[in-house]
Amino acid sequence: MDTVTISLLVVGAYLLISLVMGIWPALKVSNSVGGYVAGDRSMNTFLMYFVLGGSIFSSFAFLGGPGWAYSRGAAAFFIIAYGLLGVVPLYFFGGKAWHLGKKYGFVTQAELLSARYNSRFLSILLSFLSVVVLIPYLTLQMKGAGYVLSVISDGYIEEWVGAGITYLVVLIYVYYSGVMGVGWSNAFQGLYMMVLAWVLGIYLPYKLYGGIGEMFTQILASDKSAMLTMPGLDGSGSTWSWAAFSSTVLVSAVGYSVWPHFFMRSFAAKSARVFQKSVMLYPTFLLVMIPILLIGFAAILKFPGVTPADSILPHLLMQLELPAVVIGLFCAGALAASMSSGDAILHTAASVAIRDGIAKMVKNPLSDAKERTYIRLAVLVIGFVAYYFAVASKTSIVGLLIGAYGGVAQIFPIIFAAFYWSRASKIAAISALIGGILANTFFLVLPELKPFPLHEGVYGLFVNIILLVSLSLWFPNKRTSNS
Amino acid sequence: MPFYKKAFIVLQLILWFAIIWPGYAWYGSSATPLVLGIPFSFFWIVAWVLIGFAGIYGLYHFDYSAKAKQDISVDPDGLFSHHQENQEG
Repeated sequence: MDTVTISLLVVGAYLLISLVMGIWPALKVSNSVGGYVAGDRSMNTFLMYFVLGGSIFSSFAFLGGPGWAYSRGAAAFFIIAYGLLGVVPLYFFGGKAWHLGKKYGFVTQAELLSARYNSRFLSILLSFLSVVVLIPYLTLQMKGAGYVLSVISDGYIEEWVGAGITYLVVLIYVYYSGVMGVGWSNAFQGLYMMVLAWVLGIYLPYKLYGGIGEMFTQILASDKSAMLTMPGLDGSGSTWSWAAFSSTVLVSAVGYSVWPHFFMRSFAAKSARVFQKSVMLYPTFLLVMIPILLIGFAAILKFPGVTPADSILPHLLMQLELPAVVIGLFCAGALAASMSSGDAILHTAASVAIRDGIAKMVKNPLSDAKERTYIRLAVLVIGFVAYYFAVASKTSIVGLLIGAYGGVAQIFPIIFAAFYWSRASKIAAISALIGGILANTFFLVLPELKPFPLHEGVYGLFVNIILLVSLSLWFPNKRTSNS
Repeated sequence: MPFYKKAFIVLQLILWFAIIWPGYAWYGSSATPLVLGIPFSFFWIVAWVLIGFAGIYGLYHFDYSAKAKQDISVDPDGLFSHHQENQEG
């Protein structure tokens, strides 16, 4: 059998196993809606470490990381920069959220905030915003799966088919059983990815150049040397500006800790200490970005002109004379990275849309059965919308996520104020969120009107914070003790 | 606020300065020299990851080793107590 057939067989077997494992929990008695999310607050440090770390092992880091290093050079370091800064607030928020969750029974971010600001409308608004920012995140996972299958099948499986097959599997098991056992599968995939990343990241530069230092020496001596100077290149190949780099890191770092599916993990931990310990260990995951970026740098001189750049990793693998089973295993790993994030995002987006959105709009509380039906419907709708964008849009994987960050970052100020400023009030929080979203969206749609070439999220945050502070001073929260 | 928390906040400010702006642009942006085989701009960010990790490790360590762990009174002012009302209303 030829390489393509064997690798595809391995990948096919992997998809089949995922499907069976994913549907399995549904065959047992499926309990309440809160079921998975509430998670009995039982995750230990080992699981929590990999669940948090698993969020970096998505298509974003695994395909987008090498893709950026390959096409934009040092610009790719921004992934490490914002991860390091962005996770720190989660240490503080997570500890507080865990205690509050235990006391009041919160399981989602919107529940916590709508309780603090005493507003159902805020819950609906947050659910809408969450769905809007989670869709591009899901779209990029799908694109990643499409690239992998397209490249290893030598183009025989087109990207839209590859993404379609993979996410049909995800859709089926999320539809039937929610995301049971996501912790253990993430732990397994996380370890697998760590080993693969280090092996490949060190092996490739040696194989292609005779060493890591030798590789960079050759790049420096070539006409591509400008790529290694910060802040690297922009999408069109000219030098990226510091204003764009710094504001992108800033907005991403601010948004990082408040991603709904990320923040919500604090409610699943066994104790506040377990959660804070996992956050403390998080930078060890960032170090795995070193070999991942080395993979992208290794391709710069040897394989110029590969498009799209995000497919450089599977492309490289096919060019090296590796055993077909190894290529297959690796690609299954890349699919695992895409799927383990994709299923969690899909599940979170659907649950939040119904629990925090639709259920808060209707007068009478939804019955458990009805809520579950609606969540399943939302899984289908959100899955198809994200798939449509995956097929239709030409934006790079990293580019898609940068766009979503401007929106999610708008949640940060009201979470910060919820915990640390008792004067912050309902009217201020709602106005701040709406104002921030509007300013962000305005400059996202009309970038030529920006007064400075900064990430649109900065303008959103500016409006957001001004509204939050000034309105809270004028109309303070009534339950303050120290006003 | 205990001293180690203040120190941690100062360290975070230094980190923001060093890897967002302007520290990275002023001191860390050059591709040369190669340090441990990687460009200086790459080494810069990796070194700050290690420093940042040491910082948060210290924070965690002191947070949980304080002998007289003060009672954590969760939400003493009832700021978050609207939950039940929201569920029913």
